[in-house]
Amino acid sequence: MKRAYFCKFFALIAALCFGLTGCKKGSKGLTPIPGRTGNGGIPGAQPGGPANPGTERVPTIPDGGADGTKLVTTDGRTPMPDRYDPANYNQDRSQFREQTVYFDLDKYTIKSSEQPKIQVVASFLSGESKTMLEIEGHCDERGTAEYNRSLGERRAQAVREYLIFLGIPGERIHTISFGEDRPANPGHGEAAWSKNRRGEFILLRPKN
Amino acid sequence: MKLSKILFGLIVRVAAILSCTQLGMAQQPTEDRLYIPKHASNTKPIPVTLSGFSGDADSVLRYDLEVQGCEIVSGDGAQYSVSGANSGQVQGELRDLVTKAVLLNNRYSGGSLRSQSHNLADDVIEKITGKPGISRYKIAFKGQAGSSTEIYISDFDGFNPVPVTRDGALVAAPCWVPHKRILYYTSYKSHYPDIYSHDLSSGERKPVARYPGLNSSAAISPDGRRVAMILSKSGSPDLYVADADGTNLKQLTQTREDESSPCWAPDGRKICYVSSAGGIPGLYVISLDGGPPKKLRTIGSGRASEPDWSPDGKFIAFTAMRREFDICVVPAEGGDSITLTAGEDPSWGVNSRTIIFSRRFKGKQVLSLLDVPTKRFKDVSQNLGSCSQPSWAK
Repeated sequence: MKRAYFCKFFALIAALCFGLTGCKKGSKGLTPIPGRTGNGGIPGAQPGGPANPGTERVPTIPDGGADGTKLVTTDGRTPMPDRYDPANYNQDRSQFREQTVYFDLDKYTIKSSEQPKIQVVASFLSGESKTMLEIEGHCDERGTAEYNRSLGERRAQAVREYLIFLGIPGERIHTISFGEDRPANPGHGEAAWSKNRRGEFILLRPKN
Repeated sequence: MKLSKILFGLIVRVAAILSCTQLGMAQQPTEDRLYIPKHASNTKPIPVTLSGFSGDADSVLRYDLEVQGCEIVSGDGAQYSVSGANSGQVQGELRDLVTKAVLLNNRYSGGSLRSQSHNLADDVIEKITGKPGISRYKIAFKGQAGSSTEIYISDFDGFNPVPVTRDGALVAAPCWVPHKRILYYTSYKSHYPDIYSHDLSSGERKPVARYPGLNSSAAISPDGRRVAMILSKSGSPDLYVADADGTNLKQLTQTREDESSPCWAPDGRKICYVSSAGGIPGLYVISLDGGPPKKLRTIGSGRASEPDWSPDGKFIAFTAMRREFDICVVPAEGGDSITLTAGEDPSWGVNSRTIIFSRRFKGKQVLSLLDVPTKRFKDVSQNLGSCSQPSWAK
């Protein structure tokens, strides 16, 4: 068991080093990310494994830790939990209004300026164990519609990964992407776009 | 094939305002304009005279011939003449003005005046170009009516629009099943973005993919048996394929970055899609026979998105996400990209020559038909708020 925990911790750190800082160069012990390791940008070149032979591979994490949480896979991704039934929860959009996370163009990395907001959300959630969270991912209009739908999802999932790192069980955190369909600011120009590249937190309170 | 990248629209008015009443529904007056990019092309349109038709028949023929590479001229220099009448039914004759030969003399019955006229236009095009016309193929698109978006189908010129959904929910990315009256699309009607198949004949709608996270961008294989789609259930949006009903799911990419917008090669053995795995979004091709994906070189167009493989297999049209969006084509094996015109989300017609796409105009999106060799385009008729994500039936 000790070994399993060590592996889990190790994989988390590896995942976060990449996912949260966006560093491009691999370092020892870091999961190599296909397509960013100088192999010509081939995604998924070797499914389930590193793209660079000879680079150390992070051990596989079995599904379900001691807390029942599916954590990270070898490449740092976090499988999604089963869906919740929207009919059984009230959606509270005001609780975390000040914590909306903003992103750079084409990016899903979480900037250091945005991390304290997610820490506020994590601290609230850890004290309210019956609540769940939905993270909405949004984009500006400088991407095409379906590109943005995928990017919005990836942004929401990056925020989710950070919350899991902070100790919130993945089962409580859901994501939904609206791409560019629901801009916060309908204007055109960087002032509007910077407000539209965002992740919003919706607190889900059980109705009973 | 070397063509200028910078296009300034030069608007040539070629016809009077259309107005017509179809099936009792008033169609909005349409700006029937042909847009000719300033540095047009090395392929010249074919000059054709048109005489004897009136009303809808005249406007349909004019429109159909012009979006398929012809230019209606008054007489001098014309290569072909199309003459006829539309009293009761449409009758038309195509004559080669050089050889004086009559290439076609047809009379049409049944259907509406518009559909008879479309049939004549397609027959004329087939005689002139040797390739079947495309005006009888339907289009599907995302349309905005008030604050909600729905999936619509219509004639290729935008006439006779019919809503397919009435859910009042967000919808996205309609895609035709080849040779069938079945659409796949994404709908948020369950709260979540899910993929549905929708039989337009029976009205039956079935969920195809409703996994945790994102389910979107369905693309049906040319044989209609498989569906490519983007799912995020494993923690990042990745490319998957499944049988057409969603079973037998197989994951094709496993990247931390997001994938989107798959399309099929006409042989059904390869899929082109968008991935950000290279740092910026670009096109990749993966073989279903195995092996790693390969980056498709789109020289001159970084930030590439929304690929669509031409039915003849030779080209991939895509959207270059520059300061504005541009419709581009690149050889299917990769290479220099050619910018055609400003716009997004291209979908090829069966002739591998005409592309339907959307463009931003006066604060909304309109659908437009582009003749690739001449780079000329014409907007389709539209009386909805905003139309986008066109898919052309094949």
